[in-house]
Amino acid sequence: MSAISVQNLSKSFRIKKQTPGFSGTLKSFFKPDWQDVTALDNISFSIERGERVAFIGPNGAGKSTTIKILSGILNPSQGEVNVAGLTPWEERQRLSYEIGTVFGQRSQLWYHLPARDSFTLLASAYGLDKDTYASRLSQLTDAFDIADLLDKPVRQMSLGQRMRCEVVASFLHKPAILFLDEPTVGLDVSAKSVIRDLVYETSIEDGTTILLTSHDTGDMERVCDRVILIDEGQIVIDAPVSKLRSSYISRKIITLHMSVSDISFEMQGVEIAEKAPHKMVLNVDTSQQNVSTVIEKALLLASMRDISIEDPPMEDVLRSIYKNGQG
Amino acid sequence: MVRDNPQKMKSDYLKKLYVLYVFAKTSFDDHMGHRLRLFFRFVMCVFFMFVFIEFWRLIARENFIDLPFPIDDVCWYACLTQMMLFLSPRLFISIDQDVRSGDISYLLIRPISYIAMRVSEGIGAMSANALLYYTAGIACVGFYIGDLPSTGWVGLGTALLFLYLGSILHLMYQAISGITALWLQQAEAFYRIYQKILIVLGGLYMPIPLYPDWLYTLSKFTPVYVMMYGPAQFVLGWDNGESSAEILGLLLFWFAVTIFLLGWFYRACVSRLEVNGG
Repeated sequence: MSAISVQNLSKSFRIKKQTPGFSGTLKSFFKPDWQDVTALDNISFSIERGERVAFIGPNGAGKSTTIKILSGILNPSQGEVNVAGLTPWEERQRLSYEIGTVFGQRSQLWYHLPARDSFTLLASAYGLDKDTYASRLSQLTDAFDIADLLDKPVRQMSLGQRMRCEVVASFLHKPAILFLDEPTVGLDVSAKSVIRDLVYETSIEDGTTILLTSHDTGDMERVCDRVILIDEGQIVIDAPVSKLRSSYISRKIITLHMSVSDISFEMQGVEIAEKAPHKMVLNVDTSQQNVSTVIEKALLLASMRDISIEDPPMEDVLRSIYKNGQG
Repeated sequence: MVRDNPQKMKSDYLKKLYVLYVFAKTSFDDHMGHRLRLFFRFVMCVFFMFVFIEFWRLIARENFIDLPFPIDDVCWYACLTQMMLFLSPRLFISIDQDVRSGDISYLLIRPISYIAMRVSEGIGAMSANALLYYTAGIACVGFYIGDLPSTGWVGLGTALLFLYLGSILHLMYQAISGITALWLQQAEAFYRIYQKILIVLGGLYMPIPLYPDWLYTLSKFTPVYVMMYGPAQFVLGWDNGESSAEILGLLLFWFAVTIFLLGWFYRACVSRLEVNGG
């Protein structure tokens, strides 16, 4: 049975159009000019229980609107939606027990209080009995390694520590479906990796369905099995991550922080994207060159203070998709 | 997930009340954590209370008006009405910010009414304020005036109790003001109008029996009457004041009207929600 089923979903917003200048303001005041903007245009998809799906697209593509309809916040203009067996906008309160959310730029933890207080509050809001709450918290505390953070005020935590607690807060009531919106935004490389692994492992263990939106291709690759690309309110691609990876994500970004000021670097399949004293950013085509070979060569040329390997930004992936005629 | 069996709970209603209590308690703890903010707000309140005491002493000294109450009682009255303004957190701003930032969309996905949650949090923060104002604040006023009101500890205690209840009503009107942001995109405009009504008809600057009759009568038909003048009049030593039963009756009436109004207005505004920020 599907965890999420969406049929012919459309959503339009009515916005006030205003011409610039004083006369435009006056005209708009007395006779406003309204314009219909289509955020979603007849989209359909379905997500099975336990599936992990990345929902990607450029800004304004309709990702957030879709998630807000799926979580019952917005009413659609037309279409049918079924989430965990419920119609979201008609049964929002019942649905709230079945879904969890992680929003990278928003916090559900109380800033001045220890994380434990926020967990207790959420457990009470979701109606967990004491024993269930205690055993669930203990399980998540071990999995996310937050025992030392439980009694620490949130304001004293690093962003990575706080995000671990945010994810625990979202998993606390064992939701059937978890919506993640930019869960790793602002985190450093190692913290991102920790969050991705923990979300992945916990979702496997709990059988949680994941719907993730992110501008970071790493989130998509490490957490999800399937990708839905949406643009201008329509689904452009619905495919396994492996297919997207082999077809479009064939690049890695390597940043070298060298002990010498400059090196001369030439290699097939490697472009120098940025060059500054003691720093070089390489764009590696992984279909032509192994990342390890590139690093080996760099180490032969100079000793390194630091090396980082990153995925290309989502915008590059989207550009690549459009360039290949899929958009 | 195993949850409490609804049959085991006394009722869903009690369960919801318990959850709201937990929100209020968490907000109380959080508010107590903002020690500096709590302290500076308190200092400002005490400063304004002292200004109003001096203001009324000047009026009495120069015989500007013929006061039907003892001057010390009027000073106590002015301090309590001032305290009422400082007691409540600025709830309408929290709601306004939730709407503007789009955070409201994430708070709506909880199994608890957003507006009930915010009002409960407001009560929690207000209780933290009350703890300080009802002890240190009252001590400062008593020390500065030099005596208790003529109605004694009973009058003062009754006034403080009703002031607390009136402040909960005030929080609900702040919530109504905050929700207007869903409709007007900002809550400030509506709140300013409400605040002016509260200040004038509630009797912030002077006991409303000093107003012209028509204004006094008008005030009696508004909810602000039981938020400010109603509770504070218990420190005025005069025979024409209302009894605690009358004020309690009026409070219960206005609570019923306001809860209905808040619920209806909230549902109407949320149904036309267009979330900001994506």
